Amino acid sequence: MADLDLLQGTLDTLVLKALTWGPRHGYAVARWLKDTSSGTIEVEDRALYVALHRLEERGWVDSQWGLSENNRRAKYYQLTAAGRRQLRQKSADFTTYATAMFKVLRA
Amino acid sequence: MPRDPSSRIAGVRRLLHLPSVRHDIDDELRFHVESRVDALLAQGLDRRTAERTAWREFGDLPSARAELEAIDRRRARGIALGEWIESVRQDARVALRGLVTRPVFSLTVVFTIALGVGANAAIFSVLDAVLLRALPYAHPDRLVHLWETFHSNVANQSEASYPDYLDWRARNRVFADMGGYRGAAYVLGSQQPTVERGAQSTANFFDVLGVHAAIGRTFLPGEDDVGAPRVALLSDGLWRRAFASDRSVIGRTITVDGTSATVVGVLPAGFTFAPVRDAGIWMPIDASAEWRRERGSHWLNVVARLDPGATVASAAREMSSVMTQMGREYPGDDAARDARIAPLRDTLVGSVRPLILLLYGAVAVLLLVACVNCANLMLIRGADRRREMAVRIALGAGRARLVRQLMTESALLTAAGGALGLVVARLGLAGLLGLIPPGAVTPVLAAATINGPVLIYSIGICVVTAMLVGLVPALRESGAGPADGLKLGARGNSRAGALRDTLVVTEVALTVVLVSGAALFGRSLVKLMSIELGFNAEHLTTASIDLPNATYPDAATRVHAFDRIVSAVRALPGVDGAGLVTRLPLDWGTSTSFTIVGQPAPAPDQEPSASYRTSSPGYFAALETPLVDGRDFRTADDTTAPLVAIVNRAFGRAYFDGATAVGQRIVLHGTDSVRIVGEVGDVPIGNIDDRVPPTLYMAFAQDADNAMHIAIRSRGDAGDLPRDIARIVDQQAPGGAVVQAMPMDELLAQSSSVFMRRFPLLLVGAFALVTMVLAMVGIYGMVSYSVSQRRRELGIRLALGAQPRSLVSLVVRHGGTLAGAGILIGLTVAIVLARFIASMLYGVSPNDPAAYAAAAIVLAVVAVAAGVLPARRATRVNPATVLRSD
Repeated sequence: MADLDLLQGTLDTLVLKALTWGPRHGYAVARWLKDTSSGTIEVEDRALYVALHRLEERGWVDSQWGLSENNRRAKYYQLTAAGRRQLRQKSADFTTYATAMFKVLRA
Repeated sequence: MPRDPSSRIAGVRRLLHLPSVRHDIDDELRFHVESRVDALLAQGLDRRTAERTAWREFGDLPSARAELEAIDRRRARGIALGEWIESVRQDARVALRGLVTRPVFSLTVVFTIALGVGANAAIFSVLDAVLLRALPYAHPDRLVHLWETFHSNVANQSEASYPDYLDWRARNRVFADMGGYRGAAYVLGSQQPTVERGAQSTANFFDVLGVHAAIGRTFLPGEDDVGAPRVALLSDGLWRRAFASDRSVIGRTITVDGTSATVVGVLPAGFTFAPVRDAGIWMPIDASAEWRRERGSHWLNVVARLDPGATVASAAREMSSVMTQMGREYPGDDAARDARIAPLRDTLVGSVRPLILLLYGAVAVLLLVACVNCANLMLIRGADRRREMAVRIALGAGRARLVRQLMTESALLTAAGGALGLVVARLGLAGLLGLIPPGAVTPVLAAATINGPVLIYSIGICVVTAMLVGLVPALRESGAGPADGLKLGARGNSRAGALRDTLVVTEVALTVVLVSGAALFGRSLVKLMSIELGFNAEHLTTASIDLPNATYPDAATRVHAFDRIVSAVRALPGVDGAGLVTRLPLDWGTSTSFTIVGQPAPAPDQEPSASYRTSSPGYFAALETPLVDGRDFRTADDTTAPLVAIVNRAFGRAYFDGATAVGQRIVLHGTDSVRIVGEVGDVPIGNIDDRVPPTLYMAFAQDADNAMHIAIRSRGDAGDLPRDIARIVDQQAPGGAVVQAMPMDELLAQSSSVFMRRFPLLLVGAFALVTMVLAMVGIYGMVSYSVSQRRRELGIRLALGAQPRSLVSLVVRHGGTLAGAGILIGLTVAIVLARFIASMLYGVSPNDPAAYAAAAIVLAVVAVAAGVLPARRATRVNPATVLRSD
């Protein structure tokens, strides 16, 4: 996808979605993305972290240091109320957009 | 999610120490890569391959770190700012709660600051209007004023003669241009004529000032020529008042002095020219061709604009040499003459500058006292809360945090005080300008308003005030160790007591300075008012009557009209006498030189001269000025009779060695010889504290003017006199106009010499009163506090049988000692400072013992009064309660 804004927006939405089941660290988010899309969505880890930090700056996610499954210090991200709202909005937008795309392509 | 126990503290630390942002990013990324490597190892890869794969999947590490760091730093800063704002709000909330629970303390401080800031803003707005704001002319610093004077006697300064002005203008090489003006009064209109202040100027006058008309134009070259059509400029004020701001007034014909003139322009709203006060009508000079040829007649005030390269000093040298050259060419009139030059601003505001600086000094002292007072109250209040502070310190509040908390309090108080202070300033300024008699001092003063610079200044002094008021107590209170305040029954330590004592002494000392100043001005005014005036100002009413030149063109018609007016006034019930004069006492007027018949001709600069006025029969009787020798004017002294004059005693002293001048003859410029027929007492000319100059009165009927002042002696109150005069003039001299009739004692109070003492007396007196009240509050607070601190001791003493009275004196004694120290220091400072106002005093030495004694006594009484009230509370201490309480 050439449209960077769209790409960025899409990644943000995916990351927000990844956090709907509770706090996760960055590695878990990366795994979840890869597994859920069955490898279709390939994101550089670097871009994922930039997205996480930017979402935190915007107040859509919160972070806290905690201990990971294997007892290591890890930074956990968590959706905020604003993040939840943003995710709902973005999902709705995307569905509208995708529906319209399908309509056009199948015409 | 399991918690890292150290996370909360680490998080706070991270926010405050930005460098840790980088560590966090590294930790986070390391965790990611290690987790990935673990997963790959679990899939069976060897460690090297696993690490390579993990890093490849991650992407460019340095650029990621940089980007993440930038984002996190931005966020940390935002959080820090938000926290800071939140903490300020919290401080403000706490401070506000504290202030509201002590309303007496808070309101006292707010009102004190309001007084200090308000008085400062009001006086600063005057200072700004008079000394700082630019004059309403183009490049005003290049403008100068010029006079003629004598090489031998620089103080003998006069206007320029017209031929001299023309020569100055033609010969100098230092001025871009030069113009002239003189004051005038005009009768405006014909139906219901009014007398308006006005001025005459050369056609180029406004070009010299660099002033353009707001509507229409200023004068054109040639409009000041003899016989040119009459044109007039209106001031903005007159245009609004008399012409209802009608723009179509340009080109309209109005009646000035009974003759028509065309309005050519309206001057800008901000235009003033102090020497002609609030002149409403400007016309080109209308001197006759003969007057303009008289090199010995000095009537033109000269204003000039310096060339870019010239300075006042270089212009003075140039004009001196021009004048010397002219003295050689015209030895009859200009021999020994010199020119004086001064910046125009000095001419406009010179007389009020020391007055304003004095007032500024006084309000600065007032503000200082207000600050000291508030700091003192804060200290006393702080001592009340030593436990609160100690608890906070014990709970871990940092010293900086406590200082900030206390500073927030003083900032809140100062902000409230400053806002209220602007209200005080507005009211104060209105009252202050109301004290200034209309037109008595420079109109520049009246332009004072609370404007932008004044606001900025006020905010500035509020900041300084907040610092002074808050910082001392803040540093002191926060410096206490937690143990000090928590100890049971802990008393204020002696260091705090010493600080409070110093503040009270300072306050009293500063108050003494102001009270002494007020006392000096008060004594000056008393001395001034007890000057032998040479006339009785009580029950004496004056008015100025102008007859239009066109209707009353010659002596006969004028004398006739004024005779009818005076007769009708004398016939009024309750009027004992009335007479006419060209210039009332205290009015400057003109002077004339003359020669004495029978004495050798003097050198040109030694020619006898006298202040010159004309008066009618009955004038001196109306003033109750004694006739010392000879006789008063008679109705028979008219144009058909030989010329006669009356002189004052100073005249005889100056020119006849104290012998009577009656019977002597003098010759004025171009007259027959004049016989002196009477001698009267000295009446002040100009300032009442100036030496009365030799004065020459000519008979009104022999030199009739169209504008005269009438002086009316009545038995009781002036009552309806102003209305009666207006009616009489309307009936007896149609077309004539009366300027606001006024009691002589009021004119006296408005005269500049009285004003220049009464005005500072009133203001410095008011400031002194305010600081005195503040000092009282300070002493009261301090004694109250010491009583409250010594309750236990006093209770024990009472229980042991001490007399209540001895307890009062015990408590008051400390306050008395401080007041005594303050008074001594204050007197010393006052005596040192008094020499700066020496020139403004009259008949009183700046070291006047009576003034200082009065100040000391007043302060001593105030100090005792302030101390006794709270001290009496000491006697009402119930020993049983006190002894049980701790």
